[in-house]
Amino acid sequence: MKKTSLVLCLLLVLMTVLSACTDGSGTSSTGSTASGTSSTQASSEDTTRPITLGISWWGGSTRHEYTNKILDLYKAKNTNVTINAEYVSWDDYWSSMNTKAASNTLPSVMQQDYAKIGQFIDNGTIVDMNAQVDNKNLDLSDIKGDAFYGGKIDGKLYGISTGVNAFCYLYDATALKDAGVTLPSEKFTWDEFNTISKDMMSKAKLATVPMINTDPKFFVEMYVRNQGKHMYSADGKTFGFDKALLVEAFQKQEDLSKSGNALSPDIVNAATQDKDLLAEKKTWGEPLWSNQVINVMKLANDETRDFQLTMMPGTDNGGIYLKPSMLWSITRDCPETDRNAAARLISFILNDIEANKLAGADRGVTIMKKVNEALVKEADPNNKKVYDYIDVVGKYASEIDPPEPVAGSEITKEIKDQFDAIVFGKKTAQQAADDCWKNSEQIFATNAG
Amino acid sequence: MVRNANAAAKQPKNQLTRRSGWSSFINSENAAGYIFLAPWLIGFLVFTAYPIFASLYYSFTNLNPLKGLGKETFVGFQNYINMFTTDSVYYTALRVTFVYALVSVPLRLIFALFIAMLLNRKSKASGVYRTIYYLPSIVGGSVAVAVMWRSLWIQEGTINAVLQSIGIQCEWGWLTQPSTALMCLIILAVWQFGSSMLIFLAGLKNIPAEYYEAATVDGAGPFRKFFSITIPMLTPVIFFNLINQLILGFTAFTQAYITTRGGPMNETMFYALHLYRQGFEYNKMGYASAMAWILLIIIGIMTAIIFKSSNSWVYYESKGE
Repeated sequence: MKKTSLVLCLLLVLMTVLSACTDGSGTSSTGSTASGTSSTQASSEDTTRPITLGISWWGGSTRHEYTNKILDLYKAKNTNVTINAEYVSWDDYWSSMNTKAASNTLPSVMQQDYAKIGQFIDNGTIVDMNAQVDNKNLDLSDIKGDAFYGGKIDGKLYGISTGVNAFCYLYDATALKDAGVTLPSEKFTWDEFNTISKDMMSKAKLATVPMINTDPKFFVEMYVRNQGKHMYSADGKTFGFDKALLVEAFQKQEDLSKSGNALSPDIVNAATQDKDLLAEKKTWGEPLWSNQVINVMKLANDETRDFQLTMMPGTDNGGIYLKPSMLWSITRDCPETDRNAAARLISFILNDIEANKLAGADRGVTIMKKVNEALVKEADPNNKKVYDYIDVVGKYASEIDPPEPVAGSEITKEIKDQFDAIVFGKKTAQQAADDCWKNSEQIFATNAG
Repeated sequence: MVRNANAAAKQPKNQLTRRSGWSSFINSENAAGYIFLAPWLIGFLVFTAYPIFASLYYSFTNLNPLKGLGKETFVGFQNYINMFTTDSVYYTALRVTFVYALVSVPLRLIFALFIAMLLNRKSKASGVYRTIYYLPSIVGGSVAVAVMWRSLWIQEGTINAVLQSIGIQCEWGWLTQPSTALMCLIILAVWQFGSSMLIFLAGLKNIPAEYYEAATVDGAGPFRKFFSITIPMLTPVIFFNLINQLILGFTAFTQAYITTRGGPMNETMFYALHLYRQGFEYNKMGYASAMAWILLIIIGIMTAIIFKSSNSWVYYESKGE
């Protein structure tokens, strides 16, 4: 029985152990050696005292490489600063950050996601950076406009956008032309989508992927936004739309799945970040975030294939939106004395032209005017397509919904479960929507209490 | 005896000079034993005992790691009630875990016994074979095997390639189809039979050869020998293996986490994986703790049933007569 308990508790051990280690002091050890030496916090120009900053982000190997180079650039200019970087994949990132949050050992600067930031704000895990903007340590004077902050909630700046992106439908224009199929328009209507889907199957034997298989919540969100609704109600305690709309959105997928033009879910689900369906010519196009486009082009590694970005089908009535690709936030575990230094690091990453040349559009299209000019001037054709697409989206986009409520990640999973049932042909759109609605009501209820 | 006498002689003197418990402890016979035990004892208390009781407490709270420890509020049995009333995936997770444990464990034991019988024959190469057959279990729980398993069973994986090479066109994504995904993980579990096999092997070696000789003289065939001698003599080992493997089966996590993430359609959503999601992805650490305690109770009941039933089927040679 001892063995049983041992195995059982393994999962919870990590968390509690960390708590045991920090219960006494209650604060993080990061950077505490430097505390107390600077008496003037607000206007500190402390370029000599040794400062240790933690920074964390998620991503793939490309992002890790160039981000480390950016940090090296910063350290070369600020020799008193030591930077501890932590970088892992998306899944591991959040378990790691949640554990660190529980034990008050978060890094000073963390990369945030718009879907997750709401919970971090609600729980006081990340702090308002307005003070750092006011004392010029976080220099946002060059920002493109008020809409670009990304993490400004009720006037407080909890996160600053690393760059903007938007959902797009990336397609292989060469394959479409070869098959004699008309290219989609800038708006990409549902009729165009259905025609291309049918023609590509009959003429080029290229099937169509599901509507945002990895995260169908975004498909539902854009669908209801296009009808003038929101994903969640203002208080975040229920959906912001009627069930009929969910049925309609699911119906789009059911129609596709039953049309005979859909790619087999077996192939779709076997895809990974390094085995992309479009790059491997399994399909003619796929829905993606605009900052993921470059990776697909790299994986395809074929100059002769002309990849183009267009909007998601049926989102031209404000369904589409510009999203902060990621955000930089300062955590509550960053000692007060080091917050200006943390802000200066973020400021450097956002404003330095050399640093942004290393990053390109990987963290989204920059929010700074001068940086944008410099990057567009030198952008290679692929990156240029992304910059141009963001301009197109600007014409049709409406303002992004507020950050996700507490129930968000569970609702997202519930939508994915029901969406999968449609893709696998186990449920009709109506059944899936009924189940999704019923389960979601319970999820909202449990999270409210 | 001499040392004991010495210690006894010192005792009153120490008590006179310093009455501290510490000095009497450090000079006592048992001190060295406790000190050598300390690393394990501290490890057990900090890493096992404390977390167990902490999780019992947290299971009655709404602990959220983002808020930090100490900020949780007491919610009574709410977590336990939610589990059975509002969590739509909970019953799926229970079903999947029961099917996995109750199918994979007997299969694994049968397979392990079969291989153990083969390796029990006297042969110079048997040491090599034992090592080879044990290898899957050494690497068994590892991430690498789970990744390999994925590339074997996906639609364009090795299994379908082999089928194709012998002329069977198979477009089925074994691991990505809801109906067969769990089966892939059960096969993975059966393949990792090594540790039970070694224990069976030790058990087989302990069966006296005379029994078989006597049976041969009486004209018993191999099947008769197997069912009338091997199995009855092996029941204590089977009993041990059964309980061990059942516990492992109910707490399975890595396989599903790496290969399928609980999908497709939650058909491989093991209990431990669902627990992990609740705790680390939805930040409901209190709820996850409550789930852990229910799992403990389930395993406790299963084990108790097997223990109770053991009177009627486990045979101990020396019944203490």
